[in-house]
Amino acid sequence: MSQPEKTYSISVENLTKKFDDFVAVDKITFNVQKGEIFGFLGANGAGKTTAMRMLIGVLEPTSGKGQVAGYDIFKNSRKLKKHIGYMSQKFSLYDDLTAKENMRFFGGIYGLTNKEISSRTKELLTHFGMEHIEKERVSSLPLGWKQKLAFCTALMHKPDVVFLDEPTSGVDPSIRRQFWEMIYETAEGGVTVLVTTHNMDEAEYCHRISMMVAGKMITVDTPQNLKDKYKLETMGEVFLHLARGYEKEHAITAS
Amino acid sequence: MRIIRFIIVKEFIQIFRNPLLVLIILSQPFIQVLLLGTAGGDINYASVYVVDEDLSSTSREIISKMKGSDFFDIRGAALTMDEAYKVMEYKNINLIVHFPPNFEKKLIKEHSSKVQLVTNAIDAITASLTYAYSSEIIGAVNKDVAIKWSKKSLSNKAATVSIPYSYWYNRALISQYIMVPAMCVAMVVMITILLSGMNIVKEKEIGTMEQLNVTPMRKTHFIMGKIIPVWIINIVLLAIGLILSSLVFHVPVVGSLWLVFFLSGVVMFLLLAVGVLISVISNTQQQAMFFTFFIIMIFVIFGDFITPIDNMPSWGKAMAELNPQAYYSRMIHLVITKGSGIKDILPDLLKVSGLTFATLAVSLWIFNKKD
Amino acid sequence: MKNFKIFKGLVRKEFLHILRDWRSLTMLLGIPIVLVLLFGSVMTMEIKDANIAVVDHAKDHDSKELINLISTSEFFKLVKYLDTSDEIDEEFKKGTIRMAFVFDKDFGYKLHHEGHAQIQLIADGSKILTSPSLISYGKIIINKHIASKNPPSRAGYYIIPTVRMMYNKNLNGRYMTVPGIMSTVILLVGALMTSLSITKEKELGTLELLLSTPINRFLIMFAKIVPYLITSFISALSIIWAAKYVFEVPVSGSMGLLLLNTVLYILTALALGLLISTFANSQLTAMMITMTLLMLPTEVLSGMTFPTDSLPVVLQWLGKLLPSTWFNIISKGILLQGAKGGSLFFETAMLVIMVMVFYFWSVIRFKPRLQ
Repeated sequence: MSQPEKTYSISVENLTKKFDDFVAVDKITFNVQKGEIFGFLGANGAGKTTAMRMLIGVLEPTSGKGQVAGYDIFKNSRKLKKHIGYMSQKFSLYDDLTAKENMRFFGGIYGLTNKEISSRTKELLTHFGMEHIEKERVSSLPLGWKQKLAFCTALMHKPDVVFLDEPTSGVDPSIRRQFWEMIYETAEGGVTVLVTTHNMDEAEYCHRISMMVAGKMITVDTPQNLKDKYKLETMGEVFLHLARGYEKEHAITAS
Repeated sequence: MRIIRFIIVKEFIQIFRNPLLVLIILSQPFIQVLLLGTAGGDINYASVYVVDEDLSSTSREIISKMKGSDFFDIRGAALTMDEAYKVMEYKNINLIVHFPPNFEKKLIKEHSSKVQLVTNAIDAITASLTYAYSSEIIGAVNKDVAIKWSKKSLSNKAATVSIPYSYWYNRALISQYIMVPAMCVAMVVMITILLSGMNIVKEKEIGTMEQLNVTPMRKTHFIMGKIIPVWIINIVLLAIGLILSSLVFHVPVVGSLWLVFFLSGVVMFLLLAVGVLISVISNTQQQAMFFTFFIIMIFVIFGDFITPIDNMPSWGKAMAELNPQAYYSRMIHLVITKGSGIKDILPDLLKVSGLTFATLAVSLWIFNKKD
Repeated sequence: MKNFKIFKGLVRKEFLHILRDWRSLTMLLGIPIVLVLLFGSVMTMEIKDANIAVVDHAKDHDSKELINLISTSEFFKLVKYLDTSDEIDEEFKKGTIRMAFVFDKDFGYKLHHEGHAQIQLIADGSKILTSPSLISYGKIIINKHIASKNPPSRAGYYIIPTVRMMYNKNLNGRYMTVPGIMSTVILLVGALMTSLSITKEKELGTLELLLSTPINRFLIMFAKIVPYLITSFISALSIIWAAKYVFEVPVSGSMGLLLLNTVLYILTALALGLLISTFANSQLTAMMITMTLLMLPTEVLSGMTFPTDSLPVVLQWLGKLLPSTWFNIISKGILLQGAKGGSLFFETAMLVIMVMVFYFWSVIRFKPRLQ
């Protein structure tokens, strides 16, 4: 089998998802480079999660093209899954297992050997300063630590791309900072990160962001460029400006 | 295969992390088999009240014969029928025996006299047995009276037929020989479906299913990993149940014990498939609970356990053809009680396997469709 | 007043919770009535057209006459003529027959010339629930036939039993099983609903939160069970309707009294569910505890299928711990015996005590544990 081109980690063209008549994701097109932290911004219901679910291979797109980590999201969803990591919005590790047992289980699911599992667990926990929670049951950990653990677990099988769905919702700002440090370190190691958020402060941490409104991707750029372009101070203002502009335009064409 | 092993290990860790759950699971053979196995289906008892307005030697003879039998328990006597009826209503006694005044005089004079038997017929089976046993006693007294009062011997002229009867495979009709294996069956059915039915839906409810969906794991592997631990647990429970049945109840196993385990193992996969189906059609554990309860009740009702399938109308018999518990119970009794071999139970085993594949196929289809 | 407002708010919240999940609601209301209808329709101890085989070694006029009589009776259906007794075993193992009649060689000759002949009845001892009745029906037919052939004798003395079947003239088996399944279903559904939903709140931590508020704990817990009281009462009504109109169980006593006791019984079930949830640490354990303690025990011990009197003493005492045992006496008393409140005082009092114990015990166990 020929190795696909590896210029982009994620490349998407006119990707669309319809649920009956409702268009949840409307012809989105973008590319993400290896090692880049790419943000999906948008209000709840804008289509971020649906878009992400197509990219991680659990939801079949209606039309368009897409490649993630070199695999076609239409044809190779199982192979694709081996090369990506995912951390869902809802905490989803086993409460009644210890940190190590969770990592071991998911490592096993991804087909790692016992040796790989032990070394990888140790490596990740030491790297992120979490050795002391190794034998703790997940139920006894504070939320912030649970999220960090979930992130480690998503990295067990050395994925090329990690998808994080609202990873820091509900955790306090200090943990959020630590979490973003983890993301940076990961990206520096060559892993591509795609993160959804509706927190505009967080958007500033991303290398590039895309904004989604009503299923459409209305812009893709770096946070700095966007702020400069509209001469605004914060990403929050940029988002409001763009969203309102889009709605106005939409209302005019509709009438 | 390696992936299935990881899931199995995870399942066992989770079960053993919950000591209460382990306790409940392990207590099953002791509660369902050891305790309830002693409950027989046989009716061997009727409580009696006597209203004797005659107080003659004949009435006393009948009463003392009843006292002497194991079946009747004379609880007391009343002076009037009204009083006795009250006792029947308040204390639920089974039978009132009423001798009217001049009962004996009439018998001597007219050669026939009536005794009134009032039975509490709410439980129809006990009522008809009560009637049958009291008739037997009265018949015996008839003979005694005849011998006592008449010089002639009477019954010699009439032709008689003796009707010896026997119950094969369980000569003494010991109910425990049947009830204890039936309880093992009921236990395995209940625990298998309970543990598997709530299991997958729990992962949906706590959100881990979403995480697992993103892994390259195949759904069939996942289901195998989920059901194999339950299968192992139930084999252990069955073994404990059978050990108890042989040590405590001395239930003879006429056929092969290996065959008992083999057929149980096969039926368990059908039960697990049913559990998986419940899991995939439910969104919450509460819904799974309802389905599980409903299914287990249906299996019991059409399972030849307390409701004999033989007596059912034809549609009931047809329902039983789809019921794992009915197959299981039939095969267990064939092997344990009658000593049937694999050849006798092969048609049933094939049907069970067919049902297993059909159920699993439907479950997998729904499971895949619902992401 | 303030308390009442809070109470109303809590009840409304619980209600919305139930109404939102239409699937569970449908099952909550639908399952009990479906189970009662199914069980009531198939559960019968009446024997009709039981398959039998005949081994006729005599093949004479008398044996043929009797075989003809047996096969045309409503109880039996002749499916096989066998040549030897050995073949009976094969038929039993295949499950094609339930009983065999074996006529001796020279049956007719012996009957007429020696005044004595023999017919052997063989039944399947693994079917303890039905085989004894088969034997007794067989005996009745044979005895009647032989008696009719003998000329009536005038010399003897005959005590003639006259029978009155109280409460159930036609010995309808449903009079016992329908109230029985009603109590089982109400108890199980009620206890399952409360134990699971409260345990779920424990898992989610919302209960802890609610209990740490200054609102009275007794009030909170009562608010949790009120919605289930209403849904259970609706399904109880549907069951009573089915008992009366589908199964034609008479309502001899006061309907009001029955409904009152039903409410009391539902409360017992819900309080028991509440108590179970204080011990359970997950929805699965809640379901396991409830099913283990209630499903088979109520079916076996509370008089639903087997009369409680015929159980071993230990089991009779265990049965007394089950609310269903008491409700069975109450419901049968009111429905069939036309019992007034007074005669059921003790049983009703037992239910009241159980509600109290279960409810207070669980509220005490639900102390908010503040860390």
